[in-house]
Amino acid sequence: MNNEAQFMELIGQHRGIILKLTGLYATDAEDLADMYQDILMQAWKAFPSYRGEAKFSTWLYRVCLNTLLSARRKKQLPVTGLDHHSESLSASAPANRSEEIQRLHTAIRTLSPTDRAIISLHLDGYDNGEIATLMGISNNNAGVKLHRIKNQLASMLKNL
Amino acid sequence: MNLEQLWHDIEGNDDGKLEGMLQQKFFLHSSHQRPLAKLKKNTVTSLWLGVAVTILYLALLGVTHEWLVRFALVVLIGYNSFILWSGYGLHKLLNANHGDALPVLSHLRQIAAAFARWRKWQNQVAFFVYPVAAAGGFLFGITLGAGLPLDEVLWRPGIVWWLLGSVLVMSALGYLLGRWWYKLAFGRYAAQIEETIRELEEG
Repeated sequence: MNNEAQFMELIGQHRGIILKLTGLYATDAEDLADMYQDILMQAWKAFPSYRGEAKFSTWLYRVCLNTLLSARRKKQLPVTGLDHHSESLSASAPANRSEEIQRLHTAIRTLSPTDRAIISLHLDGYDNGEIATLMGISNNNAGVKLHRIKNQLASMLKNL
Repeated sequence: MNLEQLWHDIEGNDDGKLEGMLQQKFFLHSSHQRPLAKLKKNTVTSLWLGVAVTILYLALLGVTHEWLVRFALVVLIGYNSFILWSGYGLHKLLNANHGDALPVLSHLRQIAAAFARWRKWQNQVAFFVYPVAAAGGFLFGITLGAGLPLDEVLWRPGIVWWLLGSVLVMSALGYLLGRWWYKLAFGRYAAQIEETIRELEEG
């Protein structure tokens, strides 16, 4: 399998990471498309250096977060109400479940950009040590942040 | 409510845009529009502008024979060469960094530090260069305007005060113009990165 085919296959298998993360940062459809393009481009350029030592999902997470967090935010995300991305989530889920998913998505989008990255890593099953390594912060700082974010999220979910 | 389960069930629906990009593979060869790319583009634009201005200075060096003006031009050419050299280093660093090798905080710090360093160098050197540039421009202007050699024009009454005044005003203007250009091309972006770094560093 050539490099390009291998890349496309791996990205295809892990496109959920890109979809979920960009959904947390994009302000509109145009912004979303720009983010896809940027992440795909960065990942493609970096792919030759991927040696399979880390899981591809972890590698892609790093590329996504570095791309998204080093990007200028064109405008602030809406802080209340459901936006375009939340409305388009999991249309196939039952009504209540779908509402809960939308509430969670809206609540996470209300967090600061770095907090969004940390909570998404946590919810995707990364432990504090892995989060700390990926974000480049201390274990202790990751734990403190996570604790604060969870409390913030719980409080927001109550009020949404 | 199990947040992990809810998160797991989130399936972003993008109307097939990502699928479309993957199918067409156009990102493999196209240039992108995101800020980091714009930043890289702005760095390249600055480099080309620097090259154009340096060529202009070289051309002026060929037509003027006044040693004071020539001295100012040589200083400016040296300054531009330094900016071009350091700007090229920055451009190389931005192009080599694809965001896969470093943790997020280190990646952001590397970009922010590179820009801060570039900005600091420019400011420090500009502090000495702008007055020389302003004086050179003034002297070149008056010799051209009067059509007389500099030695004759320089001893006219009040000319030294005009020279000092224009050095002060033009240096200040040059400094403000430099600040405006940096802010326009890089500043907002660099500030955004620093804000994200602060967010990560805080508990």
